[in-house]
Amino acid sequence: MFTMGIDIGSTSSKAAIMEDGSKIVASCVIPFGTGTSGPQRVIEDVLQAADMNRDNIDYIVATGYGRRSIPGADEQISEITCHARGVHFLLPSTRTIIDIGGQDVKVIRVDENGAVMNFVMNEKCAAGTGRFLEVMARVLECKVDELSMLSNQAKQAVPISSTCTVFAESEVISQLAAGNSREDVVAGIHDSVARRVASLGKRVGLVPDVVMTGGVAQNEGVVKAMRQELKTEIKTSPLPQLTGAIGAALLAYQKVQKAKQAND
Amino acid sequence: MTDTTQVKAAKDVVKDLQAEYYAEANRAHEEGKLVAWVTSIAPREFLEAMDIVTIYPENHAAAIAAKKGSMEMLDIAESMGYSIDICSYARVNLGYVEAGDSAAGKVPYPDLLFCCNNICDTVTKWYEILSRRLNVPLIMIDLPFSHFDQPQEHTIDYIVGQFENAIKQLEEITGKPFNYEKFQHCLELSNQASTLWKESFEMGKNKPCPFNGLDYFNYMAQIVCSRGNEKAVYFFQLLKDEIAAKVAAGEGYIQDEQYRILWDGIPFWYNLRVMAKSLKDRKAVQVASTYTENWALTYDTTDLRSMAKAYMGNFTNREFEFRFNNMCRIIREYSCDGVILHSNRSCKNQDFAMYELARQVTKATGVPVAIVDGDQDDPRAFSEAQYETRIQALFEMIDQRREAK
Amino acid sequence: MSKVEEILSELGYVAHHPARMVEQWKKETGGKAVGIMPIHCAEEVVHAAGMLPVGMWGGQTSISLAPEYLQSFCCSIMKAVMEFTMSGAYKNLDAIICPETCDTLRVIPLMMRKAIPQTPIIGVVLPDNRKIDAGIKYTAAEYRSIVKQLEQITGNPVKDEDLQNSVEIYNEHHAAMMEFFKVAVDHCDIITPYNRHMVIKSSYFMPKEKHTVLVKALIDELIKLQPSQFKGHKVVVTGIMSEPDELLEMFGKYGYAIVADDLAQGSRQFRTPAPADDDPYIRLGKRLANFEGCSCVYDPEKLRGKLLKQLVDETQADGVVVLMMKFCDPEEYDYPFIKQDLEEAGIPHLYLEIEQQMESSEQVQTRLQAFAELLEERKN
Repeated sequence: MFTMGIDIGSTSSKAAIMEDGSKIVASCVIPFGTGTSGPQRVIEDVLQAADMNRDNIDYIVATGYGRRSIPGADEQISEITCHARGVHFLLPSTRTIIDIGGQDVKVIRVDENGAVMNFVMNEKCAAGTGRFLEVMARVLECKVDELSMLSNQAKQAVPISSTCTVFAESEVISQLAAGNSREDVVAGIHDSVARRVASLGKRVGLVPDVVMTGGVAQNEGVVKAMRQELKTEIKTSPLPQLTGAIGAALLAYQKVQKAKQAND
Repeated sequence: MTDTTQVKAAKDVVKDLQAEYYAEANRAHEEGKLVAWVTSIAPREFLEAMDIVTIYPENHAAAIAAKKGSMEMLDIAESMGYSIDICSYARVNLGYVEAGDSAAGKVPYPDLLFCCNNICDTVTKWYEILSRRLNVPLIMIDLPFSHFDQPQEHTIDYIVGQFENAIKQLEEITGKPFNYEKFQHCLELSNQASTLWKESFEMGKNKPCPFNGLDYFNYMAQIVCSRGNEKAVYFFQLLKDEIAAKVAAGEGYIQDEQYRILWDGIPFWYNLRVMAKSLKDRKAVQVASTYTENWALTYDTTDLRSMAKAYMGNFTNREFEFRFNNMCRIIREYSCDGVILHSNRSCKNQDFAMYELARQVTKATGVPVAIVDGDQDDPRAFSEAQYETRIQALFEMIDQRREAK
Repeated sequence: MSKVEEILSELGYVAHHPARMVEQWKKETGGKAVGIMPIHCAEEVVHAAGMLPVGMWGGQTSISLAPEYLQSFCCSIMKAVMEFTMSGAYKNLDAIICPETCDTLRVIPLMMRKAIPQTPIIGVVLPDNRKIDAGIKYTAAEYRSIVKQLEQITGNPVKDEDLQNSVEIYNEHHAAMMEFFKVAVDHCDIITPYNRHMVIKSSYFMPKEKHTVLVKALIDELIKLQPSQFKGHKVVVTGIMSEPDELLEMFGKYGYAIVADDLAQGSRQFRTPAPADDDPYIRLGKRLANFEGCSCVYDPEKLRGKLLKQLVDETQADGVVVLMMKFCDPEEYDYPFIKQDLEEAGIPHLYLEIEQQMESSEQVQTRLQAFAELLEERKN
């Protein structure tokens, strides 16, 4: 049996096809989110990668910010539950998930079965999110994926105290104007994100293993800053952008199984 | 009141009563009756006794938001220099003072103000401003926050002293001696209404829940505005009978209800629809709220000290253990499956205890909680997509918990 | 180093080392120390119990622990207080007194009890109806209740004459502070905004009788000097406080002198003496009854604008700077009438939003510079 999970975020679309809830057959990430052609394309691309068509898929679960606008999805489930399930599949020892998405930060506590025990999310504000890093990258005239490399070369992080994206932007500009190196400023930005996210994490309590997911988890600079801030080991999910989609595909499988049991 | 209202549902009756209430207030004002602007859990019995028309800026601000008119008022207040960080009820009302009209219609301007800070300190600041802006006297009833399970005697002495002082002020303002006889009657009617109010919402303990708890945000208007006169007694008797009949018939708001929810805080008045829909779509019922419980105010009508104690006893005027035990009790008594807590930008008094409360309650009861960010009257502080995600996650947690059992 | 510089340097040291001052006090006296949260709890009750009252007005720290309890829209002072509570910075305090100053301070003591259950957190709720007889009696009773709780901590009873004595010591201290503010106006070159704040802040971390001696010595030295010919901008500041230090340095940088303040941390603490009475508790009640002009004390007449105008007239100030503590409800409510009153009186004012952990000094600098330019133009 094949199931598909689609995770439509604010800045990217992700999809995964799984077989019998145990094997990833194909996956795909497109850097366009909800309201763009991204959702449509990611479905086409993942089907193509698996050499399948829609009829081969038994059940589709959509998740993410754009989860309610996916035609053809059989069901939609929140990204909180999906991330929890996805991470549990990839790293079963996970008890705390830190997911930094384009406009949301979530910290999710899960039990040994990958069920959500509690979660917290950021207030209505971009501080600490992927969007925050994008704005900062623009000020620094670099690409978001170059930030990690830059902070690696930092000698001493420049403290960035503003948590508000707009103020942080002007603070970064004045730090650069004051002659601080881009590398040191980037390291400061990463520390600022880490502080912000860590404080959210402390609200639910961080129980190891702590795992980071979401696009920002690919930024080693942020992960390093998080380790320092939380004084705990932090793992990163092997497929950080895909955990939501994988979780959705797993939940899709579970739904079909349940429906079968009910019919038997 | 005609007989036809008897067959109407309480939901519709309360609408009629509110419309009648505002019309009567406007008429009375034109006829030269004194009007007071009053905070929501103030001992209005003193005013009722002196035949003073009472208007509730908090209710009016809520109604304005429900009619999608709050942004207009907020803009006016903010252009006067009122910060976006202060309570949106206050901003809407201060905007209304300038505008003189609103999406929810007009209310008469006050001849006096009657402020009771048992709910928060924000109202004290707000009413100070009204007093100066409108140049009308302010009667302040200061009900001190309690750090103890039981209020201290010297605190009660102070409150009774203020009651006596308020009586003097009322005599001066009205030019009439205080009507102790009518006051006594008001106290009795107030207790009757509060008792009926409590008995009605306590039927929410039944399964299925006989009512939609969200409707209580509308019924509330009557317990706030008319507690202490015959109208409130009439209405809550009607409401109680209506609900009791449903319980007897085994009738529920949602017959095959799947989830029972406790709501903590003031709703988002500008988007009650999304609150209602997010529950109804999942066959979930709001069975209780910490908010509506505030008006279950009963006391010994022969003792002002007892009245003082009752009025200082609402949860935002109490220490943490009370808030915690109260929430756990409601969860238990009403068999709640989940709790939604509103982290409301306007209500710092509730907000800053909320994270700890949520942690402790979920630890003690095992019931999942979701904190949703928003504001009571300012739609800019609310994101529907964010709200929906959190609510969905709450229900998924409830499901998981059931599956695990 | 001149005598003036010596005193200022000593006070500056005290202001920056509260923890060390508490340690020193404990070592020297074997006594206990009690933290006092803003704004209007009378320190005299702690003093009378033989303990060191320690002001708890936040401080400079990065905020990482406090969000476990507090949303982002909590004021920066209380965020810092919660951060210090959780980081162990207050471990040397034997109790903490929290007056119910605003909605935020209703809840902070409840959260402190959770965060540091080993430290007694004493709540005090001062009256709004502070002028009526029942209100004065209630204030007295609240303080009596605090004293009872403090007696349990020290094990020693507090006699009425102890409190009478403390009230006298505080009256003397407050009078000295007010005198200092007056004298300082003629010495704006020495008593910079920063130094002025050091004199105020140090009073929160040392015994008042000692502070009085230093302040009186400072006054004596100042009046020996020639009045300075100050060419900059004389302003009155109003608000909760004038921190961080960086902000005060910017005041200096753009040529400002603070010639009077209406700050909760500043002269609001000092300007109203406790009147005479046989009952020292009633003295404290009457002082609160006589006090005016704070956003956190009931005032239906909203006298603050009038009071500011009076301060400007007395000191011949060029304008007012409203130091608006972000997310401080009471101050934010007061602002529009202050604005109106100052405008009607033709007094220029600057609205400056501040946080104890400053997010953006760039913005503050621009505003201070622009206001200085505006004041300069008015002179011409």
